[in-house]
Formats: sequence, structure tokens, C-alpha cells
Amino acid sequence: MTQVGGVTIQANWWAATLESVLGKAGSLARQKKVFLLSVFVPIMGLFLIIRIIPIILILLASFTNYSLKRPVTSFVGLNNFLRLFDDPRFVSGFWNSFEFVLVAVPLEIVGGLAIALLLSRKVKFEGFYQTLYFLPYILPTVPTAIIWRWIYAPGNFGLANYLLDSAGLARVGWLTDPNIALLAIIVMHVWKQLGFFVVVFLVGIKAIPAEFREASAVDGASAWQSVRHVDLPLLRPIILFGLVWSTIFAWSVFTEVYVMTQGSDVSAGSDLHVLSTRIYQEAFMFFNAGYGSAISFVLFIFSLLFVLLQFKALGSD
Amino acid sequence: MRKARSPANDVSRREFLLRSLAVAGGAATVAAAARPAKEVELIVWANFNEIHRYIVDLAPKYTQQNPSIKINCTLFAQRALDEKVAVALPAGQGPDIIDFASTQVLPYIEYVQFAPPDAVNFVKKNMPDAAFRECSTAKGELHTFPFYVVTSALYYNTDHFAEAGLKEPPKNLDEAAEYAKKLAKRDPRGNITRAGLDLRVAGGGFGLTEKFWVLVMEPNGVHVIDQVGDKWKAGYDNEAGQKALQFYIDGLYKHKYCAIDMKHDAEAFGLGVASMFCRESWVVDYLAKNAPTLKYGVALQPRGAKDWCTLAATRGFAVPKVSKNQEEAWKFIQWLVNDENCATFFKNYGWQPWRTNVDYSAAYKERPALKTFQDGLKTQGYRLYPYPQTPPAIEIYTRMADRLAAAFKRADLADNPKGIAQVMSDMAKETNQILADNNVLAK
Amino acid sequence: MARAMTVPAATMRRRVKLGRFMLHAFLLSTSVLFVMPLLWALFTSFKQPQDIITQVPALLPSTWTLENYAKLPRVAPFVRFFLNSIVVSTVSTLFIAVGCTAAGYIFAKYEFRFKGLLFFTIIATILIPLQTYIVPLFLTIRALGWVNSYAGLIYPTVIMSSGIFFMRQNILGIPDELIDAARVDGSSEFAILWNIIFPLSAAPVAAICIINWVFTWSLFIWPLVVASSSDMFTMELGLMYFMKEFIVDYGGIMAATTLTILPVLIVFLVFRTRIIEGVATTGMKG
Repeated sequence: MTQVGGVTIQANWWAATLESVLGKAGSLARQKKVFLLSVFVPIMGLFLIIRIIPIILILLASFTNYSLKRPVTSFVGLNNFLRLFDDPRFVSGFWNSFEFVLVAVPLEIVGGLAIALLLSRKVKFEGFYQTLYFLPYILPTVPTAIIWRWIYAPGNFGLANYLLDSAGLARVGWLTDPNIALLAIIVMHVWKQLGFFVVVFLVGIKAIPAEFREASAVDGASAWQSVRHVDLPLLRPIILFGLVWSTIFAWSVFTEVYVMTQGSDVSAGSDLHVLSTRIYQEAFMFFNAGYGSAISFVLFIFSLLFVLLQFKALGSD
Repeated sequence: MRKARSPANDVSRREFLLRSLAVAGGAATVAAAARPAKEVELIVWANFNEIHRYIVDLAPKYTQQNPSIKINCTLFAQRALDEKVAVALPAGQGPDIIDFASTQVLPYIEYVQFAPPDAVNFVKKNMPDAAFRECSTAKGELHTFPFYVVTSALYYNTDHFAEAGLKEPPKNLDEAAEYAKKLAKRDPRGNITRAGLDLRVAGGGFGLTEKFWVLVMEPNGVHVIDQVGDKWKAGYDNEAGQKALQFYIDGLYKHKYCAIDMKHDAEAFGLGVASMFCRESWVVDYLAKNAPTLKYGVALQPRGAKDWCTLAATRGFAVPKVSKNQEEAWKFIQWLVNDENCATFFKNYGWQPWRTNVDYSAAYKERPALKTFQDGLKTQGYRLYPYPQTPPAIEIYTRMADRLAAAFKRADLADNPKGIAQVMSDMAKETNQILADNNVLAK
Repeated sequence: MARAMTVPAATMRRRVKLGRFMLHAFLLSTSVLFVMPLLWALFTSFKQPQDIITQVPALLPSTWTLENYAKLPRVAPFVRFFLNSIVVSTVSTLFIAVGCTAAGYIFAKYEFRFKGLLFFTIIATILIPLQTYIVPLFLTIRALGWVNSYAGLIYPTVIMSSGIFFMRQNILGIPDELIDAARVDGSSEFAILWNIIFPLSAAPVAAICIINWVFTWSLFIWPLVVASSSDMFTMELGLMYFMKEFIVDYGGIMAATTLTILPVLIVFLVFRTRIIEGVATTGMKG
């Protein structure tokens, strides 16, 4: 065999092997497989090492007592989880997270929907309003929280109390009153997220053919009835999306709560903990990484639960 | 003609060889000495703004004196440094120097290098014994090189005092409460507009416990945790501890010279809405920049029933084991604390160095209030105490802060000794639980 | 059948005008109220310290000053921070624009074993915030020698689980016939992705780009853990220079923040229509 012949045979062998694995050269099936291998597999590979494996490691850690203060880590089974029930700070953090989701999500969805519906009634300067509502969304979270710290400052130093005082009303301990503090932070969170939903719902509404609305108007329906029977049903998939999106971010809210609970003009204490700040505190301040992971596990389970419930109630997937 | 190999020639050849070797050796030595020392970049992680600026400002001078050494100092403010170190050190990564409190180093004690003998001797020679004790292990190994100390003193507004007919700052806690009652002011609707004595009643994690501990616990002879051998137990579940909480509750709800819902701290003092408050020396610099016309004085902490004392919490430098430039790091640290630089530090950057054997007159000329802080380190009978030297200390203080903050909000605790006793006892249970979890609870 | 109402035309017109007016009044007042905190931030960046911590909070400065902006380079190398943020956000966004679209295409139009399970896993990971698993991520970076480097900063941001979800929902709506026709014409899958999928998904891609940009720009804990020296800081880390141990320098922070949101704002205004359509279309497919 000449050198050239040898190369030909090798090429043939290579082509034959590829064909047996991937399929006939030039066939659609093979094209697809090549695409999958060269694009999808690397992406999924990245996904595996950047998300899946770290998450699995953390979930595994929740069954150990891994801690910086302990030289040797050992398996403790469900101990961490059992401790959670007795831990008043976890329980209050959990209920705060729960309250956060229950209040923030409806406000964001209903508020976003209401404003979008108003804007959709052929308003001039619609773009101007859209931009104003969307602005808080693009502001990074740390400066946002600092601005609101100023608004909520005690005495006359904060804008909110100053306005109340000028109107002759009693001052409110926005961040110092435990009953109000969480709601105050929720207001800030909703303010930041609302524009996103206004925009999402607005174009969804715009996609509804005008004939539908005209038809209901001819039937003599009032504006509200038209909304109820035309817009809302058609918007179901988009409302589902909004619900899921806002729920996920309400469960895992961290920076706003964290920044709002620093400093001496603010109420510290378990009143103002949510699950993610508890995780942070356990992991970074008390060095109980295993216990912190257990809290993460709970956070994950409950947000998953909420999302699944929403899918069941409102949509297909 | 080839030289005959005679003994005479051999000797000269050997000599020649020896001489050549000597010359070569000498030349090599000279060359080695003339070759520049290896290029070193010292990475420093600073926690306080002032330390960062101090090191950045002085770095060029050090590099001038030591041309092969560069200093790279980065600021990680507030809790960010804790987060960063918590992830980095256990993962085997870190800088050459960390600006840390000695208590913060304790959880990482396996990851830091203990100071070499020359550094240890420097500390022993130039700083009070309290500094060395706080920063070293039971075996006398120095884990943190002390630089500056955080002590608390009483700031009081002299204009407010004159207005109320008061001449001297209060000498003890009872007097402080009396004065505070006279100094507090209200608006027609009953809202408090000026606190007589500003109390730290909200915010900021273990700092809240710290202020409570400093103002009303230690002076009344109560510790957060008592040391028993090499173990600890909660020390405040007793009458003295209850008295401490009572002081705050009375201030908020009985004498009403302070309220929860008002501006607090240095900001409040600078704005004139607080007549007295206790804080560290950085406030002097803050007031000079933000409230330059404010007239105030500084006094030592008021006495309590049992003691006259103040917190002296050390901050300094730790060198992680992962540093590849440990020798240079220790040298730089000692340079930062030399006579000249120490004086500059106090004068321009506001925090109080541990070294008492330095001439700080330049600092006092510009900021006379600083003298009280430094005098406090040397005053007879004025006891200096550090944070308890055990790893779960911060966790204990942090968890106490939650409970204290909740207690401060309870108006029902006024004239309610049973309620107060319950609060302290529940809190102590938790403290002991934390100690038990960390295997340091005394029997 | 509703009874036709006999209302004089003029009254009708007045009613409509009143309705319009009230609508505008409501929208204007709520949106201005909405934006007011941002206005305060903007004006604060021009205030001197005495104006900021005062007894009477004012919106406008009593004396305007540019000091807060001028001092930025003195406080810290903010230009460098800004550039770092741009690099990280841009590279990350490029990765996810391509990666999420390709993955979305495959999830929408391909069939293979375990597709459902894989997709569900991806969605499940959206529920877990980054800081939960930051330690394993850091250990990986360290092993790769990427601490304090751009590679390290960008590493976890090249994947966007919610982005894959978005794109899949959207690409579901692209008619199969279009794709099949291209295949019959001999297009490779790569060509289909480039010539059909991308152009038709321009809007949702723009949407996830903005979302990812905002996310990576505001990211704090990851850059904090990766950067060992300030030359690798992003803008968010740079804000630390204004947080002294007990006090915040509001003026400085607001100045830095204003500069920070300018690029996002400009991008948003330029691509506004595209983005809005894209964001909504995605939701529609539910």
C-alpha cells in the first residue's frame, strides 16, 4: 500500500465509523446529531458544572455538620432539618418569606395588569409612561435599598415621615416597627419589579385583536365587563408566566432585606429576617455551612411547590 | 616548549586554581549582592475605609525605601470582608495581610501564621500588655498583630449642658440618667426631638449588644460570658444583669430621655438631636468634617455600681498561611506601626493606635478631643477589657442583639422586674446553648 | 340585549374627555410618584453633605455641586470598575444570547430521550439563588487558577436557566413548516439557527439580554468573592468605597449610581419597542 493508499483507507475507516454512530452522511438525522453534539452538549456540560454539581454538593452538605469551627465533618442525617423546627429564627424567617410572597406577588401582578390595561386604552405618551414605570427595574439593588432607607428614615429625617408630619398625621416607624417593617420592604420590592410586569402585560394586551374588544362594546358591555370576559381569559398564559416569575424572585429576595436591616436607625432582629438572609447569616457569620444548606433546601422545596401549584392552577406545561 | 611537570609547577597550578576559584567566588558574591531582590507585591485586604486610605497614602513612601516591594491594598467594607474571608481562607486562597479585629481572626486560627519573634518582641516592647493578651493564644502565640484599639468614651454637647445648667459630664450611670432627663426635649405633640442620652436600641447585629455591654453591663460587674478554666458560661442571668436591662427600659419608657423611633448615633449627635452618646474615636473626625461648629466634650465612660472601665477591642493585621511573602508582610506591618506613622495615623485617620509611647501632640493640636481617648489607656483605675476570646463570641453577641432589640421595644417591661428577669434568663439559655454547641460550655 | 342609551352627543364627548383627563391625571401622578425616589437620587448626587442629612429633607439642592462626581476618580478607580462591569456584562450577555437561543431551539424543536427531565431540571435551578452554592463555584475557580481574573468573574454568568426557558417558549411559536422547508432546501442546522431562528427571535433575545445585563451588572457577592484586588472590581463593588463602617456617603453613591444606570437606560430607550414586544411575546406562549 502506498502512502496515499494508506491515507485513503484511514479516511474510509473514519467515515464508516462516523456513519455507524451518527447516521448516513448528509442525512437530516445526522445533521441534527452533529448540531446537538457540537452545540447542545457543551451548553449542557457548562450547565452541569456551573449549576447542577454545585447545587448537589450543597444539598449533600445539608446532611452534614460541616462548619468552619469543626475540624472534622461528619454525617448527621436529618439532624439539621429537625433542628429547623425548634429554631425560632428559622421559623420567623420562614413566615416572613411566606408573607413576602403572599403580599408582593399579587401586588405586582394586579398592579402591573391594572396599569397595563389603563395604558392600553390608546393613551398618548404611552412610551413615556412605560419608561417611567420601567426605570426602577434597571436600577441596581444596592443603591435602591439605600434610597429607600432614606425615605424610611426615622423622625423627620425620612421623606415618608416628613410628608406625614406636614399633613398633620402621626409618624410611622417604617423600619423600626416590627409589624410594618416587612411591609415597608415589600413596598420597595414591588416598586422595583412593577415596571417589568407593566411592560409584559401591556404587549400581551396589545396582541389581543381589536375586534374582540369592539365586539364586546357593541354588545353593550361596560369597560370592566370587557376586561373580565375578553382580556383576562386571553391573558391567562402571560399571567401564569408573571406569577411564576414574581414568585421565584419573592422567595429568594435577599439584597433589599439585607441592606435595609443594617445600620443603627433600623430594626434588627429576627423580625426582619427572610430565608435567604438567614442562610447568609448561618453560612457567613456563624460558619454553620451544613445548617445553612438545610435552610437552602427548604427554600428550594417551597418555591418549587408554589411554582408547581401555579402551573396546576393556571396553565399547561 | 611545554613546561615540564615539576612539583614546583604543580603547586603553582594548584595555586592558580585556588586563586581563580577565590576570585570567581568573590565575583559571584558581589554579583549576587548587586542583583536586585525578588519583586514582591504585598496584597492587603482592608476592612475600614480609614485603614485603606492610610495604607494607600503611605505605600509610595514604603516602596521608595524598599524598591522591590509594591503594596496593593483593596477595601472590602463592612460585612463584605467577612464574606470574602469566609469563602477564601478555607479554600486556600488569600492575601498577604488582612485588616481584622482579633475576635474575627479566632475562627480562622488554623489559617493564619503566628507572628515571628521580632514582631512579638515589638508588640511586647511598645504596646500595653492588654494588647498582647487579647491577640494571642493561651500558649502565647500572637495571631493578630495589634495596631489600633476601639475604645468607647462619652461624647457630650457642651451647649446643651450649659443650657441645662450642667457644668461637668456625668461621673456615673445614675448621674447620666439624671442629666439625660434634664437634657431631653419634646415637641408639642409629645414626640421626642432631642435625646438626653442616645441609646443604641436598634440595628447592626452584634454592635447593639456591644454598646449595651459597654454602657451598663461591665460597669455593673456583669460579663456576657464568664470564663471558668478554659470553658465559659453565660454571666448575666442575675440581679446585676437585670439592672442593666432596666437602665435601658427606664430610659425609653420611664424617664423617656430616648426613643426607638428617632435618629441615633453620630449622625444624631452631629445634628444636635442627641445631647450625649457613647462611641469610639472615629466620631471626632466625622464631626470635624460634618458638624464643624458643634461644641462638645469627651469624657471617660461613666462609672457603674461595681466598676469603671471601657471596651478595648483590638484591630490589627493577620497574615494568612497561604501568603507567599510572609517575611515581607511582617516587616511592612511593623513599619506601619512605627513612631512617625503611628502619629500620622492618629492625627489624620481618626482611629486610636495601641501604642502609648508615641508623641501624639500634633494630633491633639488639631483634634483636642482625641486626647481623652489616649489618656483612657493610661488612667489609673480605668480598666480595659477585650471581647471574650472564644470563637462563638460573635455568634453569641449577634443572637443576643436580636433578643435585646425585641426587649427594648417592650414598654410593658417598665416596672416589671419579673418580665425583665424572664428576658435575661431566656437569653442566657440561648447563650449557653451556643456555648454547648461549640463544646466550650462550663459545667 | 342592552337598551340603547339616549345620551346627547355633546355630553358623551364631555364624558369621554373627562375620562381621558382622569386617566392621564392618574397615570401621570402615579408614574411621577414612582420615579420620585430616582429623582431624589439624581438630585442628591448634586448635593453637598449638609443638604443630605438634614432635618428637613429637600428634593433640590440648596447649592448645586459637582464634587460628588469629581471626587469619584479620587475615591477609587471607577473608570476601571466601569470597564470591568462592561466586560463582564457584555461577554456574559453574548454567551447567553447565543447559548439560550440554541438550547431553546433544541428544546422546542428536537425530540430526544430525557428531554422533559432535562428541561425540568433547568427550570428547577432557577429557584436556587447563586449565593447558596457560591462555595463550590469558588473552589472550581480556584482549581482553574481563575481567581481575580475576568474568566473567574464571568464564569457562572455564561448560563441563564430562565433564559433557556424564555427562548424555548418563544421558539415553540415558530412554525415547523418554515424550518422543514429550509431543511428540504439543504440548510444545515447551524444555518437554520442563524438564518431563521435568530431573526425571528430578535425580540425575546433582546429581552433576555436586558434582563441578563441588569442581573450581571448588579451582581455583588460573586465578584466580591472572585476579586482579590481592586483592579478586578465591578461597579457594584466600587460602591463599597462609600460605605464607611457606620455611615453611608449618599452623595458619592448616588453619583456613581447615576453614571452606572446611564448605559442601561440608553440601551433601553434605543431598543424599547423591540424589547417590549419580546418580553411580552414570551409570556404569551405561557
